[in-house]
Amino acid sequence: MMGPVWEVAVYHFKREVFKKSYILTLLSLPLFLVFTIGLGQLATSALNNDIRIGVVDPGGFLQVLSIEGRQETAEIIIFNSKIEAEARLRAETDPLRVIYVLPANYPGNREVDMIYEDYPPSEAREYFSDILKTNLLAGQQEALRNRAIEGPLLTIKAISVNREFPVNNPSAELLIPLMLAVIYIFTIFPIAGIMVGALGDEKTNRTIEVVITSISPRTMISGKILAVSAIALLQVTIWIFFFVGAAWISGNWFDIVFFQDITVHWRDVVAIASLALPGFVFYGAALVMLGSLIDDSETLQQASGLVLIPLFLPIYVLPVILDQPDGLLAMVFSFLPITSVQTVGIQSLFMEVPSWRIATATGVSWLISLGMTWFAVRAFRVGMLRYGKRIRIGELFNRKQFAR
Amino acid sequence: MNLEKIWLVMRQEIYTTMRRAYFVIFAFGLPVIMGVIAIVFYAINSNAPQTPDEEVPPVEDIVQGFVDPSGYIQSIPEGIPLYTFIEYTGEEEAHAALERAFISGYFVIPEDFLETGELTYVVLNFNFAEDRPNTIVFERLLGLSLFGDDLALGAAAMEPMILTTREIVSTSGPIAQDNWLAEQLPFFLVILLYIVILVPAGVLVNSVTDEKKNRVIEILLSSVSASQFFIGKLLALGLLGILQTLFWIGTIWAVGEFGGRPLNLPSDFTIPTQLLVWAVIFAFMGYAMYGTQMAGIGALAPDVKDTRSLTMLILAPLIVGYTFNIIFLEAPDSTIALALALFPLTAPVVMIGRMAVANIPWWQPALSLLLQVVAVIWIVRLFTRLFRAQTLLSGQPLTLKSLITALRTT
Repeated sequence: MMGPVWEVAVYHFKREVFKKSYILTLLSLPLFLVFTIGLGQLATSALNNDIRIGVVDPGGFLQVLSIEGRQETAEIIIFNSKIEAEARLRAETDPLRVIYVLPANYPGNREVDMIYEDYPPSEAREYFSDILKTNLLAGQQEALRNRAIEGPLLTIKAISVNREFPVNNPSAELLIPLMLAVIYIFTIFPIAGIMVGALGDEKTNRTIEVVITSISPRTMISGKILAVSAIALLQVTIWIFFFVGAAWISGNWFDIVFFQDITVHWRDVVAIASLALPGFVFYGAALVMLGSLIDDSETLQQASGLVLIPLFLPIYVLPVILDQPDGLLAMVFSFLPITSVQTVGIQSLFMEVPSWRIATATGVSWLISLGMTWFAVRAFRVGMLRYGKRIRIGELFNRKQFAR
Repeated sequence: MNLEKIWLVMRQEIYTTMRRAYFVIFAFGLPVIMGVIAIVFYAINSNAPQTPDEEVPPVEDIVQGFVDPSGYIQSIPEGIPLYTFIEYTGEEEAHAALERAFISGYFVIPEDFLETGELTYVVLNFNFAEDRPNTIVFERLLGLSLFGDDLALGAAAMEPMILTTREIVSTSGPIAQDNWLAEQLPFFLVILLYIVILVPAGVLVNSVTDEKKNRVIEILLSSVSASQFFIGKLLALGLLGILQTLFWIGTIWAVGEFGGRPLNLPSDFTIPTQLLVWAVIFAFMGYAMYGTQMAGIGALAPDVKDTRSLTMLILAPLIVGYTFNIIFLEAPDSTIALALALFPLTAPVVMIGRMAVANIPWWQPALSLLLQVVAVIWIVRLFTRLFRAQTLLSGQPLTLKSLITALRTT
C-alpha cells in the first residue's frame, strides 16, 4: 500500500517543486519582507532626519541641546520670540515641525505651549522631553541622571503561565510562535493553488481516467495529500531558515537589539509544529474534496477562497483572545485544525499553553483531518468520472454508491 | 461598435456569475456572517474595561506589594494616594501574598537598580489591559523616590512639561480627526482600493481562461466580435466587483450603526463624500487598467495557472504604489509621492492615500484622472487586439516573450 502512495507522492512533489512558479512563490515572501522592511527603515530614517524643533526660551533655561551618547533625533533651534518661530513653522523651506514655548520661570512653572501644524511624531516629542530632563538634572550624578531619563526597564513576569514580557525592550523571541503561525498561513495559500490545480488538470485532460486504472482512488489521494504536506513543510523550512538568517544578520551586523540574545523556547515551537502537521493535512484534504466536486477553475478558486477564510478567524476575534488568552473561545479554537496553529501562536505570547491541551488539540486535529481525508477520497471517487456534472454533498454519504 | 452585443455579453456574464453559489456566498453571505460574528463577539467583550495605554484606571481597591533591597523607597510621597503599597522583606513573603490573592502583584527592585534599571512586576496571569496601567503608578513612585527629599526636582524629572497644545493653519487632510479610526483610515482606504482593483481583475482572468479551456469561446466568437466579448466581460465584472465592495462596506457600516455600536466607532468620525467619490472613480480606473491587462494575458494563456508569473509582473506597479504608501502617508507632499500619484499605473492607490492625509490642490487629482483616462484608452486598445481568434483559440504556452510578440504583431 505504502509503495504506490509513496510513488504518487514523490511524483507530485517533484513535479511541483521544480516548477518556476513554485520557486517564485518560495522567494516571494522573503523578498517582499526584505523590500518592505528596507523601505520602512529608509522612510523612517529619511523622515526623522528632517525634524526640526523650535524652542522659545525667554528664561534661557536650555543650555544643553543634545543628549550624551544618543543620536540626535531632531534638530533643536532656539528662537527669541514666538512670532519668529511661528514664521519658521510656516516657512516653505526647512520648516519647523513643532514649537515649544517655555515660560520665563521654567522649571518653577512647567506649563509649556506646544504649537504645530501637523501633530509631531512621538520620537520628536520624547526627544525634546529628554532634552529638558538632561538640562533639569545637569548637576546630578551621572547614574541618577541616566536612570531618570531612560526610566526603569520593566519586565512583567506571569508566574502561573511561565511567561515574561520585557515591556521596554521586547525581543524577537517573544514573537517566534506568532511568526510560525504567520508562516503557516502564508504556506497554506500557495499550497491551496497547487492542490486545486493538480486535481483540476488531471480531470480536465482526462489523465485521471488512465491513472485510476492502475492505482486505487485512496492511493492516489493519499499520495497527493502527502506530496502537498511535504511541499508545505519544505516551504516552511526554507522560510524559517530565511527568518533565522535575517534575524541573525539584523542582530549581529546591524546591532538591532530586538534581534539580539534570542533564546528559542523549543516547547512552543514543538507545539506549533505538532498542530501544523494535521492542519496541512486538513487543508490538503479539504481542497482535494473541492477539486473533486467542482470542475471550472473560476468557481474552484472562489470556493477555495472560502475554505481558506477560517484561517483568519483567530485574527478576526483577536481582541477577545487578547483579553482572555486562556478563555473559552481561545480554548475551542485551539482544538480545531482550521484555527489551532494561529490561536496557539497568539496564546503563546501570553502563556505557556499546557502540554495536555496541546496533546489533546493535536489528537483532535488529527482525527478531524483524517476524517476529512476519508471524505476527500469519497468525493474523489464520486467525482473522478463525472466531469461537468454537479455532485451533491449527500452523495458522499450514500453507502450503496460505494458498495457497487 | 455594436453596443447591443456588448450589453448582451455583459448581461450574460452578470447572470452567470450571480448564479455561482460561491460568488454569492463570498460577495454577500460572508460579510453578513462576519458582521454577525463581530456583533456577537464584541458584544460579549463589551463589558471588558477599556483602558488606553497612558491612562490609569480607578484604582482605589488595588493593593500591590514591593520588595526593595535597593532601599530607594522610604515613604509614599503625596500625589500617589490611590494605590495601597505593601513592602515585603523578601520575594518568598511577597509570593505567598500573591498566591493568597492578598495583592494583585508585586515589584522587585534590585540593589543595582540605578545602574541596570531592571524592575520586575510579578503577577499570576497576564492581563495587558490591567497590568501595564497598574505599573505606571509604581514607576512614578520609584522615579520620585530616586531623588530622596527633593520632590520638586523628582516631579520635574518625571514630568518636565505640563502641555497646552495648539494647532495652527492645518494642512492635514479631510479626515484629520482626533480619533483612532481617522488615523488608520488612509491605510484602510488604500488596502480597500487595492482589493477592489485586484479581486474583479482576478475573476476576469479566470473567466477568460475558463471559456478558452472549455471551448465555449469558439461558439461565442461566432456571434460577437472579440472586442465586444472583452469589453462586455470587463464592464460586467467591474460592476459586480464594485457591487461586492459596496456590500462589504455597507455591512461594516451597518454593524457599526445598528449593532449597538459594538465596533466602538468614534462618534465624531466621518468620511468626506468628496474623497469617497474620488476613491470610487480611481478604483474603477484602476480596475480598467489592470483588469484589461490581466484579461489580455488570460486571452493568451492556455490555462489560468500559466498566467501567475506574468500577473505578478503586471501588478508590480500597483504593489510598488501600495508599498511606497508607507512613505507617502508620512510625506504626502514629497516629489516622489506626487510623481507616483500622477503616474497612471500607481495613481489609483497613491493619489487616494495622499488625499486622505493631506489637502491636495484640486488640479492634482484632476490631472491624474486625465492621465489615467488616456492610459485606459491606450491599454484597452492595445490589449483588446489580443482578443482575436488566432490568440484566443491557440493553446501555446504563455511567456513574457510571447506576450510582447503578440502585442507587437497585433
